[in-house]
Amino acid sequence: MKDRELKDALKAYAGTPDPFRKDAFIRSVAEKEKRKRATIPAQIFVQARYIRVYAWLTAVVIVLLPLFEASVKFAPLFKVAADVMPFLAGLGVIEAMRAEAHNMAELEQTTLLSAKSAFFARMILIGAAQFAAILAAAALFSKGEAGSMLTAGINLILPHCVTNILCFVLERTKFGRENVWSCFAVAAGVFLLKLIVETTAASFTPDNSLLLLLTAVLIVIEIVEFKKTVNTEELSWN
Amino acid sequence: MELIADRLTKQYGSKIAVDRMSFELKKGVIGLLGANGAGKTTLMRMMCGILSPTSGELSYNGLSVTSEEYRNVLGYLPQDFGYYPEFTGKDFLMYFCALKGLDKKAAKARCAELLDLVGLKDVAGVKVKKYSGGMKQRLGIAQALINRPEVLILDEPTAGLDPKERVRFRNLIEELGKESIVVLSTHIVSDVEHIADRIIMMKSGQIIWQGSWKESDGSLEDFYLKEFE
Amino acid sequence: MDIEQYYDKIYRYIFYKVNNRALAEDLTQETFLKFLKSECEEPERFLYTIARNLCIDEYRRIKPMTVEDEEALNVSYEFEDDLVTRQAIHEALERLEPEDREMVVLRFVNDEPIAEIARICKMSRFAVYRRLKEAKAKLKELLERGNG
Repeated sequence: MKDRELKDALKAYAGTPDPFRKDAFIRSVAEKEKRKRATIPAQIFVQARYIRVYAWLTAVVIVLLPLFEASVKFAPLFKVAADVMPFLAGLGVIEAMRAEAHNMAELEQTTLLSAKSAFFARMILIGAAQFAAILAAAALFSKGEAGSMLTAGINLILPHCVTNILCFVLERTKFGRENVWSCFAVAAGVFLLKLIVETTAASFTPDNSLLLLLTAVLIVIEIVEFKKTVNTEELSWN
Repeated sequence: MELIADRLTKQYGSKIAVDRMSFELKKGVIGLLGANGAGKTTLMRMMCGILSPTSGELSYNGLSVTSEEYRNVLGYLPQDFGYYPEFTGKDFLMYFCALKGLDKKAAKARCAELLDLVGLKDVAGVKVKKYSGGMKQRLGIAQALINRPEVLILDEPTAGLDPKERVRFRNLIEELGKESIVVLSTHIVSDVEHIADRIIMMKSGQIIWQGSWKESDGSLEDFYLKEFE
Repeated sequence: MDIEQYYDKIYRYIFYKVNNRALAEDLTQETFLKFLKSECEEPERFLYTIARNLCIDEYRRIKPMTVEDEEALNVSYEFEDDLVTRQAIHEALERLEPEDREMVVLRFVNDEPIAEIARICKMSRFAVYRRLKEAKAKLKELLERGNG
């Protein structure tokens, strides 16, 4: 006889208590105990365990890019980083929308921790990771020099921001919710737009304060759109 | 323990899905009968606090259905639900244990118990996508029971269950109804005929009949069919 | 303290002492009620202590096994090649020293760590380890012989 078999036999011998008596008892006692509180940090903590590794890795790759340049002196890498920004943003939204994509959001909404905060928590986590990655990348690309750091940061954040705003708007529509991968199409669109702007306005270099203002406005719009998306109700009806 | 709806209405554009419904639900099994499109799902979503009514009120023991305290005692099985593709049955339950505020050790104990209760113990480590329809539905029921709900809302819970599973499920519901408010919607009369303490019949968003059905009242099925002809 | 986590463990611990489902359930709930009143910080050990004391109080009143329980003993469980009946497990456990039986339940049924068992039983870790090893061997021998 193996140890496992002995254990199983002993466990089976005791069996389990009656689930309904147990239910009634725990419920009667739980009322006297402290009620659990739902908080956003608790939700963020839970969601952090369920965001897939690749979502974190994509952010790490952005930070790694400038390190490559430092060693091999491969200048166009900054352009690559700026070009992948829309896709990074799109992937982030797709990851945050996973529960919606897999039809699990309705269940999430009825749990203690979240009314609508599961998506919120996932987006905050991914957004924070990507934002931190962008800042780190900007600092590394410019080797810590303040002026070029600002330019680098703006160049990276702008496409990211525009993509996020459009994705949030898209995810509020029925089509967007049912086809989460369409965020990728948005990303491709922003990428093309970026190429067009860069080729047509190659000679025009606006000063940093103007770009900074534009970035600030876009970030405000992004936050507003994010809030709207978090508060969307499912509009499907039979 | 009382769930009260007062002139509850939900309108989508010009369509009225739920039309001035009023009822008071107490401990026991409540069968919500109606054809597809009668507004059952809309009503249930409002009862879960995930859809806000156009007008009217819904409260449980004086608590708003959108409050944290209410969600703490609510269990819900939607008509259709999904899962992350990498989830096993156990992962799925553990995820919802976390969202329902159980710590890891308690979650483990509760998962084992629930998997046993719904007869999925042997397939706990199998990916949910390999489950049959009936197994998936049982997993959904287990998920709804995690927090030992006082209000259990089940939307078409018997869909996809085979006859044996149906019987097992009915017994489970009957037991649960002794301690909680169990609302279950269905378009199959036999699902609720013998276990429901109370029947609410819905048509085009309105209650057309409600009360407790006794044997002496004749066949509920006949009555239902007559109403829906 | 989370009852969810300990309820089944305490139930099984008591069941092995009283051999009666309904009684084990009553005593389990009483254990938790007592525990909640005490506001103790260390649930695990204290729960077992309360449960043990309740069983001792109850001990004098426990009647010999009822017919119902006898019937329940005949249910058998299949484990790969072996067929171990409840009757066989019951008899094998009866032949262990009460202290050994308690340690076996804590270790193999409730998966408690040795250090915790040592504290519950007020023994050294080494003593627990040694006695568990012996008890396990004895149980296996009894069960294998019983079915061989």
